[in-house]
Amino acid sequence: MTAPAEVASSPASVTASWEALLGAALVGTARRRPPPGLSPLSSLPGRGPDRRDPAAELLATAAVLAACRRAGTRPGPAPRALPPPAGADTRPPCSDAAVDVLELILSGEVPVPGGVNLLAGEWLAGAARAGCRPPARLLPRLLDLGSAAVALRPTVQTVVGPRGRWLAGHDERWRWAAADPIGTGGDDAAARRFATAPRAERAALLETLRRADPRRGRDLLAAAWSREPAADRAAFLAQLAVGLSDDDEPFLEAALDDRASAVRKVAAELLGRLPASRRAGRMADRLRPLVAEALGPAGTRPPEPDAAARRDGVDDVAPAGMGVGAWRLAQLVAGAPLSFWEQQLGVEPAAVVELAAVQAPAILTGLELAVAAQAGRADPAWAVALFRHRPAPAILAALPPAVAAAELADGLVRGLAPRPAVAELLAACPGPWPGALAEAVVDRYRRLGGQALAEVPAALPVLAARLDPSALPLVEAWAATLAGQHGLRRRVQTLGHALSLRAVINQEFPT
Amino acid sequence: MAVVAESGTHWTVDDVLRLAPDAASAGAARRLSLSAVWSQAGSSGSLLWGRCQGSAREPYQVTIDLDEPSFRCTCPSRKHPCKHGLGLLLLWAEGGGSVADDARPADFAADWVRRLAARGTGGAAAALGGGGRGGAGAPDPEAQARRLAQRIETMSAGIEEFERWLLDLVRQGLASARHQPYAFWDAAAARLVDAQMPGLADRVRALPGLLHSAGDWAERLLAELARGYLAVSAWRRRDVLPDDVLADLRVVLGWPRRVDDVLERGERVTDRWAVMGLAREADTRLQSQRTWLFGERTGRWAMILDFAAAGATLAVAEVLGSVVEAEVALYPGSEPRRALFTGDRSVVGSADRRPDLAGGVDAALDRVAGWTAANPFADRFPVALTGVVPVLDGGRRMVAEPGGAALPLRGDGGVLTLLAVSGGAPVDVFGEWDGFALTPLSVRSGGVLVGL
Repeated sequence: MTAPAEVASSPASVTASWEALLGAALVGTARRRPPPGLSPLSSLPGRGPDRRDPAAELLATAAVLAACRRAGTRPGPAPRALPPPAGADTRPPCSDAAVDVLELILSGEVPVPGGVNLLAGEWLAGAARAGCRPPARLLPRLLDLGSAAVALRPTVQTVVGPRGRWLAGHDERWRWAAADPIGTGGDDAAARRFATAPRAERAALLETLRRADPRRGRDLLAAAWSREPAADRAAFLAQLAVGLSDDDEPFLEAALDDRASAVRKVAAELLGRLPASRRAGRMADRLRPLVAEALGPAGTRPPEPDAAARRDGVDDVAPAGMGVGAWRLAQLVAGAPLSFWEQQLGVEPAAVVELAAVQAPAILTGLELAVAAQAGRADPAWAVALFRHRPAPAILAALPPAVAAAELADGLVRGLAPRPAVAELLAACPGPWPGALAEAVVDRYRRLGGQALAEVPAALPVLAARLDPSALPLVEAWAATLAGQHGLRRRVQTLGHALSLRAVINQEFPT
Repeated sequence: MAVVAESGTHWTVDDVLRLAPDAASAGAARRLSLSAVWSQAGSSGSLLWGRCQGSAREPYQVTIDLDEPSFRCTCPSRKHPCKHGLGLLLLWAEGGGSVADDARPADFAADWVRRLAARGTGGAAAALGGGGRGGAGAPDPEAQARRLAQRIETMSAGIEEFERWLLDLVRQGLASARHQPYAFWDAAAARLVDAQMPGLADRVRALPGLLHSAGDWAERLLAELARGYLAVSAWRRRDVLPDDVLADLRVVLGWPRRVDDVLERGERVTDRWAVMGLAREADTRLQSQRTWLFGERTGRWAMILDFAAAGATLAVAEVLGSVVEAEVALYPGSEPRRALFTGDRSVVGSADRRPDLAGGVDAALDRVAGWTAANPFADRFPVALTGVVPVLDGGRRMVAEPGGAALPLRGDGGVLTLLAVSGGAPVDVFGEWDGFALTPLSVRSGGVLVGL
């Protein structure tokens, strides 16, 4: 065979010949014959083109030229200036065990209740707490995680560090992570971004800022307030729920006069959470003359709300099964500080709840709303009394975590509540759960046996997040009792997986 | 004829049906071969195996030694061969791709061969790469020659038809070919499968994908059609082509080579092989895995190719970055060549430095040029670069030598991971060059090697 080295042909002539062939091939040799003598081989002895068929001649020549072009491919020049590299990351690397467990979680190969996000969130929180750097090769996976789960974004952004934020600038899906975390820039940087970013990002920015420094968040919103359309004003005002304090009261009080009803509604709702607010004082004033009558045998009928009461958000849109009068009373109770009752009646919360339960259901409803709204700013005895009277998720959530856990464990041991509501109660009880609650919960499900299946889909993700990893033996014992119930048993075993993985996370990122 | 000297054997549908004990079995086997009851079907040398979901809860395990041929099936049927054995043989004879070639034998098949070998029978023992042929059951040379002649006849007819198809495309013009529906290309590919040239069929099936590439679709389509025509011309001249060119041609056509043939006749090379990169691909029926090895002493490249049916387990790959002391048997053909491990291998270290691959982008493309000159059909070459910076900048994605040359990058996830590991600083990159772009397979930065 003739060695290709004998074929002398310049790159320019190869390209010109190729272009000529391509032109003929595009329209077809039936319409245009390729020019003769294009093949670099045609000059060699015994290698004349096949003159019988122009299509065959074209393909034979193209085969040679294409091989020449492929073999002759030259690289392009590097850009004169390479883009700037990522900033240095001085954090210590995560331990090998921590990396292993992260890869296991991200692989999704171990089925756990609540899916990948639950445990990934735990891992990220641990890494953020410990100030560790994940391996660079996993940064794309972590950024993907944040792209899919908005709730995880702030932690992802912290954990991926300067290299991750640099990387995020290279892919449209990761834009959210590309900027420096809020708080590292000055007020100007935050204001500029708040002025220019899309709406969802602005809300997220405001939330993050409120978490770090509530005053800066409120000042930013106040500066932009007059230019925002009504829907944005309402959405941004709602973000003040994060880090809410009495410092926000003057701004919220002013917002009660906003021209948009959606904004006024948000303002009234947030002021309802502040028992020291002027609005709470006004509600107490409206309530005071009615109390004695309301708790008496005849009951009371509150007067038609005046303009000032309307401004404070009192409306006539009663929930189903409640009269307008009762609803007006309930709103006054909900808006007044809970301390009002002790000042007024001189008895303990439990006594008020008992009295209201017998005499005035509207007051009881109002008290429940007040307890949920004033959570953390009122005597926990209120929530305890109401929860014992009627165990509702919102009331449980208003309790300090330790008290909530104790009350819930107590309730479970007493055999509380119809079944569907229990999963909601579990979800309302913040973690990590102490051993007594873990035992009460698992014990309850063990006693239910196969009937637990009705609750388990809703309850397992909660258990996976809130149970302490030390509860693993309890869960395994529960699974062991389900020998005949394959489906249920498999689900319970996934809870065991989640606790095992969380145990590793806690161990690698000690609190 | 040179092709005959490296004979493979093939069975036609008629060959198979002639083995049926009665007409009912033949009909049942035909229906089985056309339905989706098969899993883990594979072949290696003269061994053929598969699992067939019948009326029992567990699928029947079917194993066939083609040399005898002898059958084994876990079904309760008293007919021999049973419909499952015949069905599997038909499935394989039709070459639709449902039976993985050169696969790792399933455990039940390997067990059977071992039992036969212990009794001193069964030619399929060679498929396992272990002991030689047993005493009894030598293949019938006459039947083999007949099957080979039949295969060559079928292929030649298929080549004629493929040539007419190619010429017709060029006469009508590529501009009109671009508007052909997918079925047009698929039908041509199906005819190539019927003609026992699945390799060419795969290339034809990939053509409609090229038509959507923005600027250069015509150029790339013409280059591919011309390459097909080159295969046609080469097949016509198979009597005078050198052995290594013939071997390259066989790969393009998709005429598989028996593992025991390579082990018996292939060139042996012993070296410290650095595992440079792993590439995995999967479609709905087949998964494949390429392991690129670089011989530290010989400076030669070798590529281990593993197949498995979809859902089955691929052979466990060598660990990326390890150095393996081993002997390989090279498939015939041009460099860089496919290879098999001949026996035991031991990990003797980890490649904590890149094996010495002098030169940058220019030198790498020079090597590719040499390989392309020897084998114009090849389109996947190993390329190792040191000290290059990955750049993603607007639409451009490349690895750049600071102040030097740059190569475009292909792939999505791999490129982003490469970028993450580099942090924009120089790294060592290994990947596959396809003539247009580099698909990165591994990256080394600060002593850490990462698979992509």
